[in-house]
Amino acid sequence: MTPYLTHHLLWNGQPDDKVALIQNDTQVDYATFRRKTVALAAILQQKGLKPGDRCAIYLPKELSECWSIFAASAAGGVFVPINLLLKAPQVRHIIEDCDARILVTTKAKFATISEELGVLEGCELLFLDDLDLDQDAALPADLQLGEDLGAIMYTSGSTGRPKGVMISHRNLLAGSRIVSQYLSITSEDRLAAVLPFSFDYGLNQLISCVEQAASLVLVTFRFGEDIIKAVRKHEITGLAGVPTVWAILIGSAPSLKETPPPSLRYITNSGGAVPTNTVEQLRALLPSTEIFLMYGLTEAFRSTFLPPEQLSIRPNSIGKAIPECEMMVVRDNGELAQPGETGILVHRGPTVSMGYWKRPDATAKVIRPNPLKEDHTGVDLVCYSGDLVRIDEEGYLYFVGRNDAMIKSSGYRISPSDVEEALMATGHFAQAAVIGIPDETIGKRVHAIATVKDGKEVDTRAVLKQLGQDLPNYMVPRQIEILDALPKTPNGKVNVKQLTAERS
Amino acid sequence: MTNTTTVSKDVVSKETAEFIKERFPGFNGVEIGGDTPLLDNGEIDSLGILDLMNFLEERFSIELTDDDFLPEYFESLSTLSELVLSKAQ
Repeated sequence: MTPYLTHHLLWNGQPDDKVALIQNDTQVDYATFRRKTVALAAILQQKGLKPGDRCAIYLPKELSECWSIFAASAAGGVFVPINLLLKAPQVRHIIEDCDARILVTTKAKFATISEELGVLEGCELLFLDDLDLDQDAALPADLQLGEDLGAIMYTSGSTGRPKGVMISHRNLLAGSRIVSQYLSITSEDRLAAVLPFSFDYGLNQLISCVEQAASLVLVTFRFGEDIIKAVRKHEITGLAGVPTVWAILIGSAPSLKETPPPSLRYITNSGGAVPTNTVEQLRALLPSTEIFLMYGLTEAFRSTFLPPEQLSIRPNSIGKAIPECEMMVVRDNGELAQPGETGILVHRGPTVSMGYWKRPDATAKVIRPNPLKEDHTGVDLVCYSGDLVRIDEEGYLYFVGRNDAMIKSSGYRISPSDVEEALMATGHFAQAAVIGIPDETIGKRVHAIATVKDGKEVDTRAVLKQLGQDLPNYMVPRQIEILDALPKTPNGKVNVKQLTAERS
Repeated sequence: MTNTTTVSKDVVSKETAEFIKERFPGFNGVEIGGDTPLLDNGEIDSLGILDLMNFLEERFSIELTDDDFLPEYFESLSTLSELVLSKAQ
């Protein structure tokens, strides 16, 4: 049978004794991975998870997170991985917004947020600590189709609270298949999972690995050396990171300068552009490793990659469309842009998501009919990325910027209005604007500019600490700048462009 | 800029503690003593370590090499100041 649901990939002919997952000194083979998945799926169904119900997953990066994801799918549910860096208010937002039926977590992890989280109506807690997943159970019958919702991935836009991007099983399988193809992933590979599974690019390491019967090594790190040690110890062949991971590798992995890890076949970057000098340093440090620069957004999973051989020819390009997909650069009026011209990147292909959970208006702005097709030629939905790109004579694409205020920092999407709201909620400010200032290491640095209420003194450090209790650290501004007044546009709005330009 | 030949362990500790409170809001209001663990509360993540290193280099005019990026140097203000002093000589 051709797999069409996410968990089908786990029954894809992988040998029982083949190592599927590795963390530190623990190895799990595919037979064990399958057994735990089936046992947990049965428990989820007993707990009342119905087809299409959301199953939120709030777990530390460990092996059990892998079978929780597959078990949610096997039980007919929709998995919603929650980033561990989020604080209680965002975790609550996600659980409530997606109407999670079950939250899979551990007692220790849940204890870190339970007090602030308060009571979760209609959401049952399932602590993995209490469960015996080594009992035999039967794989539930398939209850979903490939077109059904497989996962909801929460991400931010330019305004408002994080939105859930709806990803069908077919989307997930297409993404896995496409990436495995252009990275030539095989059962011989050992991939590192450095990024969280709550990030579509991080999740893809797990799904591609299972699809190809490869092995996945879960890596947590503080120093670059931790990553390199894991690469050497487990003879990792593929490493996926975001720009900050490369800055950390270059800056804090002493042994990398002495000998490159011979096993490392490729590295991939997504989640923001890598500065050209960082790419140069990586090429020098990893002379026999292929470097794939990629571009994507959760709404369409992955859009482009630059083939490694093009890196020295056009180091600033985000490349061309991934297999099975087409990228169009479109003018405001819906016509195709010409080479050299800037337009909106529009993505067409099997990874175009189903839009935003419970937000039909937001969905209609992003998932739209193909502007280049006439109505009578059939339904063809594409994804408007909101990213401005330029195309050259040979069809290579170049990232120009966002056409909205969204801030991209350390691979995360941050909504300025979300941070502004948190600043205003402290009660100290009359007005606040949050901008992204270019930063060599993290892409954009979150910076706040505010006017104080009634001209009172404000201890900005204390405010930042207070923000850190409610916001994930990557959203907390590095600085709060106090001004007497914020510059305005002729329409009376805060002139964010001017504020940004003055500080870039 | 501090003259590196006269910089003392106390000065390094004091200024580094200030930097940490400024850069990592979670440390604000926390008394950071010589032996207070710096990495245990998770405030200083992998990126924060890079920022801390950059601060030490610029503020105390020292040059840190890759070999100085060892977790043991980042345990406390005391271990960090020893690292800085050994480099400032």
